[in-house]
Amino acid sequence: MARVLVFGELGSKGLNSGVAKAVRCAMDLQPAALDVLCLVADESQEGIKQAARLQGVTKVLVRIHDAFAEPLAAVMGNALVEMAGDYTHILAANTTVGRDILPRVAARLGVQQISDIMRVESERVFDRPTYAGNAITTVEAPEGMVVVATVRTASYRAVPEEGDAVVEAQPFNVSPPSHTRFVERREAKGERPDLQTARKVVSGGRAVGSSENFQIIANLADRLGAAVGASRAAVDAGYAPNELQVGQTGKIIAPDLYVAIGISGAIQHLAGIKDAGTIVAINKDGEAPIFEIADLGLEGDLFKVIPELEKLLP
Amino acid sequence: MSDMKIMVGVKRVIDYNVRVQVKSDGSGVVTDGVKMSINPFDEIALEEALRLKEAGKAAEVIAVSVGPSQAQEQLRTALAMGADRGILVTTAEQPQPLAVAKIFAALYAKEQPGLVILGKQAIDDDAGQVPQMLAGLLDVAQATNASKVELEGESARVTREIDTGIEVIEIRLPAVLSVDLRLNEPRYVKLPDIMKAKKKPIETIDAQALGVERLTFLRVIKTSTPPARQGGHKVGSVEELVQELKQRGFV
Amino acid sequence: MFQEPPQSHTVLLGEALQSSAAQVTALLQVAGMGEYLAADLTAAVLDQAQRFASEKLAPLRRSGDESGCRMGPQGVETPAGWPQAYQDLVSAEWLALGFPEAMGGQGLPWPLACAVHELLAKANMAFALSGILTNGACHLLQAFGSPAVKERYLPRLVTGRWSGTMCLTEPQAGSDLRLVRALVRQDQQGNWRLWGTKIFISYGEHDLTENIVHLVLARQEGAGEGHAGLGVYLVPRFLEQDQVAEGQGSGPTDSRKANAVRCTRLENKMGLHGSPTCELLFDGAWCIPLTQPGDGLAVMFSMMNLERLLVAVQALGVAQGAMEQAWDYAMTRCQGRASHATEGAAPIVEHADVQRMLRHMEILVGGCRMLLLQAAWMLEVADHAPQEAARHKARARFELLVPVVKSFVTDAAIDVADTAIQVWGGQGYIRDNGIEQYLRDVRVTAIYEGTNGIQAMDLVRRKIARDKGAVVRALLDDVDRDISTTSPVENGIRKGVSVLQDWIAAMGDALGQGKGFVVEYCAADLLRSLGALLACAGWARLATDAGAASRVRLLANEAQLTWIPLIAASHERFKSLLAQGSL
Repeated sequence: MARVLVFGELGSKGLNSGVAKAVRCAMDLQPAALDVLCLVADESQEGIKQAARLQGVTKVLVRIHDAFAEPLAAVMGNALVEMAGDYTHILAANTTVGRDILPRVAARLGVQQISDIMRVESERVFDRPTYAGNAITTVEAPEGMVVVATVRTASYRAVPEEGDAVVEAQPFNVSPPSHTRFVERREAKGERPDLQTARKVVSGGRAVGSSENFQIIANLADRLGAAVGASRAAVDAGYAPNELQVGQTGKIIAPDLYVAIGISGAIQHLAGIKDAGTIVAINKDGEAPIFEIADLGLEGDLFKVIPELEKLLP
Repeated sequence: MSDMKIMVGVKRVIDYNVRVQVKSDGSGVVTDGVKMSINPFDEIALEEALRLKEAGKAAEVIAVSVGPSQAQEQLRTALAMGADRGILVTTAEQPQPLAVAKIFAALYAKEQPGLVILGKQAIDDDAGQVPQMLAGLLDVAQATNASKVELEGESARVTREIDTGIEVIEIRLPAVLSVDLRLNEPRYVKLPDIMKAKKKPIETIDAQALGVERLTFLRVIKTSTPPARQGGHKVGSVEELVQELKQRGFV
Repeated sequence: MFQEPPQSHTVLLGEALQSSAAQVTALLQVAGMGEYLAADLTAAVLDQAQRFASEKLAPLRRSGDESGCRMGPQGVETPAGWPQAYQDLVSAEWLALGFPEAMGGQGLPWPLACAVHELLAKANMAFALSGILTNGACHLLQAFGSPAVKERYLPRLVTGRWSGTMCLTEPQAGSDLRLVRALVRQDQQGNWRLWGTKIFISYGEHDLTENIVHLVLARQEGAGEGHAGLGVYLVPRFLEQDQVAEGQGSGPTDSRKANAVRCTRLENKMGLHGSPTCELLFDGAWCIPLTQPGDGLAVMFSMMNLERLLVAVQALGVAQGAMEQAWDYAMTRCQGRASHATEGAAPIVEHADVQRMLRHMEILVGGCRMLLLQAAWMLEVADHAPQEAARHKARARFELLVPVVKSFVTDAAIDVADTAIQVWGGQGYIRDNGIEQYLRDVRVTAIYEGTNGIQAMDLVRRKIARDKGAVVRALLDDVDRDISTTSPVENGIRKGVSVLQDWIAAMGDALGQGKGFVVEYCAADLLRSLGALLACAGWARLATDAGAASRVRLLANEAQLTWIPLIAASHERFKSLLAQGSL
C-alpha cells in the first residue's frame, strides 16, 4: 500500500491552490497514508489549517524552523529528503516552487523524478505530457524505490475542504546552507498577470480594429483578472505589441480560461491555445473556425457584447 | 573571477517549429529526417554565458551536449554562437535527467566551472529536472527560472520568475543556474562565425568513461497522442455566457 | 490508394535542404574542392540562414504586403520594421556569402549561396529582392569596374551596407533595350553627367542603406544609335566628399551630398508591395563610366545570366513557402470523410484530390530545386574548376540552362502558389491568411529580368541555334548516360531524351528552311519540355540515393508519369505545325 507525502506549499495567501490538486492525484494511488508536509517558520500559518481540511489527508506534518521562512530549494529539499524514509511516494504540485525543490530531492534520493503527472494508472505507472503536450508518455517507476513526482495541476480538480486531519507540529533541525540567501519577492499586485503563466487570458484579434480599441480588451481582462493576448493578425496590424502574440509563432499558453474576441481562429493561433482549459469565443462571424474548438461560443459584435458582459460580471 | 569557466548544456531536440508526430506503434515520436536544433532554453543559457564572458566576468565558455554523436551539429552551432570549446558525451540510449545530471556532475569535477548554466527545461521531454538535480548532487546553490543574472565576484544576484511574480536570491558560486525565456534574446549566428567554429575543438567522451553506467531509470511503456480537442456549444446571449462562466468558477 | 503521409512538410523541407547540402558536397567533389566545404558546414549554414529568415524576415512578409512603400519627406520609405531587419541581415553577413574572401565575402559556392537566397526569398521575397539586386551590381563591378571603382564600392556593396540597382528599362525600351534614350555627356569641368528617366527600378530608392549605387544603361552623346552608343554608368545616390557634386542636390536635405537622381513615382503593383518599384529621374546626375560606349548591352547581358538564375531562386523560395503552408493546412483542416477512413472528419490531407495537389506541388518544387542546383553547380565549376576546358564546358552548359531554369522554375512556382490557394480553399482566397500573397508576389518572376517568352527565344535562337545544338545535345547525352546506369525510372527519361534529340534536330532543319516562326511559336514548349526532362532526371537522382525515403521514390515516379507524356505531346504538336507549314 502506498504511503504518500504531499508537499504542502505555503505562500503569502496561505496554502497554494495546487496542493489540493496534488492531494487529488495522491488519492488515485489509494494510499494507506496521505500526509501533507508543511515547512514553516511560524506555526500560526493559516495554510496549515486549510491543509488539514483537505479531504483524504491523513495527517498534516508541520515542521518548524526559521530557515523555512522562504521556500529555498536547498533548505526545503534537504528537509524533504530527511522526511522521505517513511513514504513510497513524494508529490508536489508543479508550481515554480515544487519544480524548484523536487528534482533536488529526487537526485539526493538517487531516483529519477516523474514530472507533471497527468494520470495515475497504478502505484508505479503514470501518464505525463511531453513535447509541449503533443504527446503523452506512460512511464513506470522501478520497484522498491520511492516515487518522487510533480503533479500537473491542470489535470486535477482540487479535493474539497471537508476533512479534518490531525496536525502534528514539531520543531525541525536543519542547517540552512550558506550558499543561498533570499533577498526579496515582488508579487504582481494589481498589475495584469503575465500572459505566459496567467490562469485567465483575454485575447483580441483583427476585428478589434485599432490600437485604441484594444483598450476594450485590456479593460475586460482587468475585470476578469486576466492577462491580455492578441492574435497574429492584431499584432501584424499594429493593434497590440509583439509580446502579446498568442499562437504558433508567438506564445503557446495553457490558461484555465481563454477568451478569444474577434479572433477567427487560424490554425496558427489555435496551436497556441490547445492546452487551455476552457476556450470562449466571441465573434461576429458564426462560421469562424474558432467556434469549432471553443467550449463556449457567442456570436455577436464585440463592441456590443463586451460592454454588456462587463455590466453583467459580478 | 575573470579566469572563471562557465559550462553550458546544449541539448539536441526536435526543432521548435516541427509538428511532432507520435508513432502509431506507441514507441515514441517520429524523428527520422526531422529537423533537430538546440533546445531553445539552452540557447538562452549559452547566450547568457557569452554575455558574461564578453563583460569580462568569465574566461571560457564550454558547451556540453549529452546524447547521440549527431549532437555534434548542435555543438558546432554553439561554437558558432561563441562558445570556446565543446564536449560531447556520447550515450548508447537517450539518457534520463538523473543520468544527465550525473554526467554533468562528473564533468564539473573535471572542469571546475564557476557556473553551470542550463535551460530550465528541454522542449522534448519537458522534464525540467537536470539543473536542480545537478545542484543537489553537487550540494551547491541553485537558481532556477532566472530572468536576470548579476554576477559580482564570487556571488550572483539572480532574479527568478515565479508563479506569483518575481523573486530575487543571492547565491554564492559555484552554482547552477537554469534560465527562463525572458533572460535574454539569443544572438543570431553570423556567417563568418560558422566558418570559424569549424576550427574550435570538440572533445568526445563516452558516458561510461565518466563513470555513469546507468542511463535510464523509468521504463517508458508507451507514447500516445493526446485526445483531440472537442468543441463545445454556442450560447444565445451574454447572460447565458456569464452564467456558464460562473458555473465553471471563472467569475 | 491513399498513402499515409509519414512526414510533415518540415520533414520534406529537411530533405530538401539535405539534398541541397548533398548536391553542394557532390559538386565540390566534382570540382576537386571536396575538402573545401564539408557537408556538416553546409547544413550549419542552411540551418542558421533558415532560422534568421523565418524569425526575422517572415514576420514582415504580410505587414509589408499590406502597408507597401511610401514617399516620405526624405525619400522612399520601406514598410515598418524593414530597416532594422535589413541591418540585422547585413550584420549577420548573409549577403556576402557568395563572394570571394578577398572581396569581403565568405567564398561559399554558388549552390549553397542559392540555397540561402532561396530561404530568404521564402521568408519574404519582397525584402530579399534588395540583396539579390546588390549581388548583381557587385558582380558587374567585379567584372568590369576599374581598380579604383572596385576598391571604393565593392567592400560596401558586398556586405550590403550599400545597395545596388540595375537601371535598364525606360518607358519606350522594355524588352528591346536598343531603344534606350538616357543620355550621358561631359560637363565643362569634364565630369560625366547623366539625364533620363528609368522605370521599374526595384529598390531604386529606399531607407535601408546609407547609399545606393545605380548601374545605369545610357547612351553617350554622339556615340550612335541602337546598341552602339550604349554604355554602363555608375551613379551613386549620395556623393562622397571627394566626388564632384555640383548637380543640384535634388533629394533630401542631408549632410551627405545628394546626387541629382530621385524617385519620381512609386509603382502600384499586383504584388511584391514591400519592394519599392521606382521611376527614377536622372537630372544631370554625376556618374562614372564603367564601359566604353557600345559595350553597355554586352556588359549588362553578361550579368543577366546570374540575375536570371537568382530570379528562379526567388521563385523557388516562394513556391516552397506556399507548399509548406498548403501542407500545414491540409494536415490540420478536418473536413469530410476520406474514402478509406471509417469514422470522423478527416484532415483533408487524407482526401485523394488533396493528395493530388500536394504531390503536384512537391514534384514541381523538388524537380525545380534539382534543376536549379544543377545550374548553380555549373556556374561554380565555370568559376573555379582548375582546368580551362572544364571551366569552358561548364560555362556553356550554364548559359544553356539559364533560360530553361528561369522560365521553368518561375512558371512552376506560379503553378505551385496557385495550387496552394486551392488547397486552402476559401481561406486561401482570404487576403489575411497570406496564401494568395505568394501568388501575387511570385507572378512577377515570369516577367522581370527578361520575360519567359524572351527566355524561350534566347534558348532557341542563341543557346541552341548558334552552336547548332552542340551544348544541348551533350547535356542530353549526359542525362541519358546517368539514367541508364542508375535509375529505376530510366525508360521514361530515356524516351524523353530521344524525343528532345529529335525535336532539336528537326528544329535546326526548320530554321534552315525558313520556318523560324513555327520554331519560335513552339519555343516555350521546347523550353518547358527540356526543363521537365531535367527535373525528372533530378527526381530520379534523388530516388536512386540509397537512403531515399519511399515518398521520394513515389514522387520520382509520378514526376515521370506527369512529364514524359507531356514532352511527347508537345513534340507531336511541333511536328504537326511544321508539317502544316504555316500557322
